[in-house]
Amino acid sequence: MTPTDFVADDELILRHIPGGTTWQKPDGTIASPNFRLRPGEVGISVSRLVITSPEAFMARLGDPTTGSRIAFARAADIRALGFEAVSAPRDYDLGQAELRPATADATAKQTRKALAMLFRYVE
Amino acid sequence: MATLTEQLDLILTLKPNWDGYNADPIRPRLVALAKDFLEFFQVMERVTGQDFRLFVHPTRVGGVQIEWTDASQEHELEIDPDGSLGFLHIDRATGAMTEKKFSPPAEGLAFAAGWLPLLAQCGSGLRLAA
Repeated sequence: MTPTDFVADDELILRHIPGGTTWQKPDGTIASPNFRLRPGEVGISVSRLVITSPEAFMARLGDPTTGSRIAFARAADIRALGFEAVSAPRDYDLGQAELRPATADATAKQTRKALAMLFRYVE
Repeated sequence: MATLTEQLDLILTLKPNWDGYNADPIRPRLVALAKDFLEFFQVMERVTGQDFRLFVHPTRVGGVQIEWTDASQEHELEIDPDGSLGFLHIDRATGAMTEKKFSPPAEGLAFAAGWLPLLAQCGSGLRLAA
């Protein structure tokens, strides 16, 4: 596996979820604003479990003392929502990838809600 | 657990990149508006006796999202820095989603900031009259 390889349908995709009740709802679901694109962003930054270990991922982005968590979803399920999972390796994370809207409307609230409902926390 | 108002105050302290993905800091005037919305909802909870299960979240663009639930639907209201208000409604039985966006830049915020305290007062009045 190399960082530029195609993201396979059975790969697990990771996203950091900041700690605290304002980002992680008490009922265990993930808040949809976690998946909103900022102006100028073409895709939602994620990492590929096949390349990036959860430990390295948390060390780079998270703060376990504040309750940071990692969520995951399967690439095929993300694609079914109208996103492309595209590898976008960086020096600091060779497993970095982006979820870029293909047929999905990234400006729609329904789209990020559907993504939020798809991702699950790593236990 | 912190109250919703305390959570909104915490949101105000967020630094740039608070999510590790370059999120923007939250605009104070949007937090102020969110507090007005919450006051309205809390008055309505007292008037109706319902628990709307309110939540607040910062958004990556510097705004605030409020969520609440009623007997048949989940609702999300996103308050954006450009003054627009975006609603998402989810039917709890079917999962069907509908959304609406109101984008009169600045006017949306001014409008909401004007009528929310009035509605909250009306709600209080209803409770007193009941």
